[in-house]
Amino acid sequence: MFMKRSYRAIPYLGAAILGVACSSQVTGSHTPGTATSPSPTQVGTTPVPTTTSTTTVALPAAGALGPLALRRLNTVEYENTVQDVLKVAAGTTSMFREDDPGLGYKNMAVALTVTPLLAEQYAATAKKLATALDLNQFAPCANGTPEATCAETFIRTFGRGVFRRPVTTEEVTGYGAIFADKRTRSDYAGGVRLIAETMLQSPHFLYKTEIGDGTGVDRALTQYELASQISYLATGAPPDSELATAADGGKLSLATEREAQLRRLLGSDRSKSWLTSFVTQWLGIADAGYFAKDKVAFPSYTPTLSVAVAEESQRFVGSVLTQSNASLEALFTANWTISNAELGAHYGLQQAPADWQQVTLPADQRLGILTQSAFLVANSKAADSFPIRRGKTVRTRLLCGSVPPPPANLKVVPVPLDPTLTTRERFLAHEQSGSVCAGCHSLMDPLGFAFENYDATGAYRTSENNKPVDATGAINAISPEIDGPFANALELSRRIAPSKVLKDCVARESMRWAIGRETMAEPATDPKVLRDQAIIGALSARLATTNSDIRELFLALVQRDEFAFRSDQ
Amino acid sequence: MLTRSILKRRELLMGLGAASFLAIPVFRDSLAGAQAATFPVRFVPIYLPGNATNGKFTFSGVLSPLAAFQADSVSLQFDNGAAANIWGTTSEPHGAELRTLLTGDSSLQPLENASVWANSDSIDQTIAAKISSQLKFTTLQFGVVTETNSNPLDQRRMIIKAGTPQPPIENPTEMFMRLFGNGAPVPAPTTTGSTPTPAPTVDTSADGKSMLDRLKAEVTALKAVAGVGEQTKLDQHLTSLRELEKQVVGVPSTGTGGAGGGGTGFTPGMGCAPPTITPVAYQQSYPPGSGPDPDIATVTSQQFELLYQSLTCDLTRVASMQLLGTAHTEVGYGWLGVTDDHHALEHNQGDAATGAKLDKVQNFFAGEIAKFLNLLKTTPEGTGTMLDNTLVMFFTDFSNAGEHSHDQLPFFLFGGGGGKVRTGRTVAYDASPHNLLLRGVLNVFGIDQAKVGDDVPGSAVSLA
Repeated sequence: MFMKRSYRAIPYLGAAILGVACSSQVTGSHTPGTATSPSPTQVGTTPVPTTTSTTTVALPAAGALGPLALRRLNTVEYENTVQDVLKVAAGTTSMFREDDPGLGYKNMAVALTVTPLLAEQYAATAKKLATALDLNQFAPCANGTPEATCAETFIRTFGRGVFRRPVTTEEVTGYGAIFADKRTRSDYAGGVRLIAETMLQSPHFLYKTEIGDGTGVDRALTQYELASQISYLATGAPPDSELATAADGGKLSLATEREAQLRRLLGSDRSKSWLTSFVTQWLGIADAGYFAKDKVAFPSYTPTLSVAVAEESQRFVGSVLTQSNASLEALFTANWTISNAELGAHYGLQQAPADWQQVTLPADQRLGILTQSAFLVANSKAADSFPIRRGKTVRTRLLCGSVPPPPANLKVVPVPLDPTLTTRERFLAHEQSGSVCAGCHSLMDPLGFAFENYDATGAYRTSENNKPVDATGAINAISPEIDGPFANALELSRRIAPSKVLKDCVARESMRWAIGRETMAEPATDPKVLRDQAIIGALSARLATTNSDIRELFLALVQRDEFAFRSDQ
Repeated sequence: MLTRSILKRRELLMGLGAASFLAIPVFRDSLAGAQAATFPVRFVPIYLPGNATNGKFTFSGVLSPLAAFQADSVSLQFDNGAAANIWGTTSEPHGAELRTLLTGDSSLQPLENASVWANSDSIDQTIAAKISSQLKFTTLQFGVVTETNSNPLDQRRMIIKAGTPQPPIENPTEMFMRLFGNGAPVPAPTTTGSTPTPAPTVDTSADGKSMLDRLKAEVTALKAVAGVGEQTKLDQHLTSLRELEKQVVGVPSTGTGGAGGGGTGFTPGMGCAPPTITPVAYQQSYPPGSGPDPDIATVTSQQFELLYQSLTCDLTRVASMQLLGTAHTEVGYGWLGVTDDHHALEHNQGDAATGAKLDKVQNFFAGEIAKFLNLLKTTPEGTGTMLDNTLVMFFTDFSNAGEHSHDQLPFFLFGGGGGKVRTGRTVAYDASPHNLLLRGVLNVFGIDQAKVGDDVPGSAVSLA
């Protein structure tokens, strides 16, 4: 039960600047008795078999990574899981509603719930998948073998895949009862299919659990939980056989083994697309293909160009991530991109590229991801370059800076388009000294002005409404390391790319995405805050020693002692 | 008036196969001998973004189709110059409205930015818990193109249960299958991504019971070993399974709706003859280049027909209709000669031609709402009509969308609410936030809460 007061205290936007007294601790009311040890007769509470001999949890000095958690598979993870386990073709989840995001990411534990509609969709999908299941492959039953024995084998093998761990004794009994009951009305196949249909709606399928053996306050994750943590982190898919073997062997308690397994998985194609989804969600460009622009002002921004804009960034990020050094710095300072002909024309390239060919960008016009259309399109209006939003995105998502909310009772009249003024001139009121706007807008507008060389579609321009474009600006009140004026977006990109501010920020964001929860920043003396900040610091430091290899963020995370532990708090 | 001949029942039946016809429960006129019956009360919130009439929802102009129902309405009349403004600031971008209109909770942050939403319920969910929980669907959420992808999710979600947004169903075929499908085969998709979900079957309720008993037990057991922070999530999961159970295994009884449902000696009425619909091309989203715009006119008309049938067949007593999302973009209104997106029309900068286009679009939706009201009004219940036993709440996000202004935000109520609402009048409304109106609506259903969402001083608006 989240209290409104706690909610408001989450310091996402500018609480520090406002001087708001914050307690960032989201408090929960603990129903008495809900976390007591399970009675052995309760369904599904038999401790999950673990191959380690850790009967007593030895919490490392560093503590646990965070609270006990249940993360529902998001749509992509669900899709990957049924593809791998049931060997079905892609497309199972095309009907699912889009996952609600939290902090910009579609894998946050708190946002991934099972609504009534989703429960219906899971039910319908489970029925469809169970009906289509190839029983010769999944539930063979040789002549002479008792059906109940075959059914038990099915429960163990199918359950191992679907639950991503061995089934418990209780589960063998419970699903066996479902089979026996159905068998009174149906044949062997009907019974097996009902087992499958039920398992495919089980919470043990739908949630990645982080609850260990279910007892105690501080808990070690089971080997199978660790395997899932590593696998879904790397690829958004369930553990492969090699990882499953490592779990069976109890090896994942070793940081070195976790690191080696993750490193292996990070080389796969699926990992490339999964990590690309992190980067594009971080930068807010994952849906860049869905932005319509004003048809009168931009007749050349066609539907195909809109799709190409999104594809460019997907391909570019994927390409950066699979280079020998998946460099954060290259993300922001690459002098190349991957383009097709229509996008090439949009960028004014001299020579039209073949479809999705690597091209060198005009050196005075574009550099890195912030000058790609995806970022520019997603952070502008239909007809307007909208420097406020561009600046706010750079400040809050890339530099982890804050912007206070607008003051109460502020009457906003949108600045009308004016054919005699540049966009920058229209927003000048914000800058006038003494203006109530200046205090906050100085944090955003001068950052956003860097991108005035690009219109709402990301096309390059040196003039607007017959006046020269002024793309000078400044980073204000972030850190002495990067604060100060710049000439344009290229200079802004060059300045932030190697900075510690950017490394610290992507470290925080990668941690949020990887563990699916908010990282804590206040109050500074809270042990949980100290833990989160220490981890973020370590991830950032890893970037500094690896030529800012983005993959190293996750390798550093799984090597942490905390990674294998959770706490009921 | 919407006639069922438009809906081409035969075509769909052919598509579904003859067997499905037998499977569709057809209720015959059943009011004979039911003179002593009392009828259930229903609640239907309807949202349409971007009112451009500067706070004056009147029965003329764009809303002229609703003039026929003036005698059945209560409109809120604002004191001159007073601002019924629930938000502390008028500078909110589009989106704050959807999450605040029915919750009255102005603290809800944009979904993208928040790591958690407050534990709020929209009032339809509160009402449904009382009057509709024992029906097949506690609530239904209908939508018409709310889910365009360039809209952040928080600009699309209006209905909130325990802090979790409840997405609407937008594809009439999917909704039809959910309401009446009964396990019938699903028509072939007419375009990518449009495969409807068949409703879980009811004729295998023994299987369903076995399955759901196991699932509920597993979630309950997991609760015992999960962390303190996950208890709410698992409670929600259990609620969802119970909702599913009503569809798979069946509802405990009909005609009562819930502890406060009312309706005795009542059999789902003479209007209950499930329509069939012609599947229209429908996608989950409409990115540029993904294909033709949906046939909004047909979708809207089918969705309202299905909403009406879900009530007459007593499948639910609380159903919402969300027409578009706030800041709705991308989809045009070709059959009206308007190809601009709604958001661009709202921000018309005072341009008369653009404003006229917006009026055309709003006028179309007002006409669809009027058709729905007419369906209710022409369905007899006892000595009155279904409209007498229903409360329809029609509202919008901005009084002046171009300026993002919520001052004097207009609200309309239609229907007698089971005799609890005195219609054919206006109610004076001062500068208080609309939370007091939400409390007044709850009162119609016998729910008295000291506050809804924000703690606003004052008395609930009396609709009696």
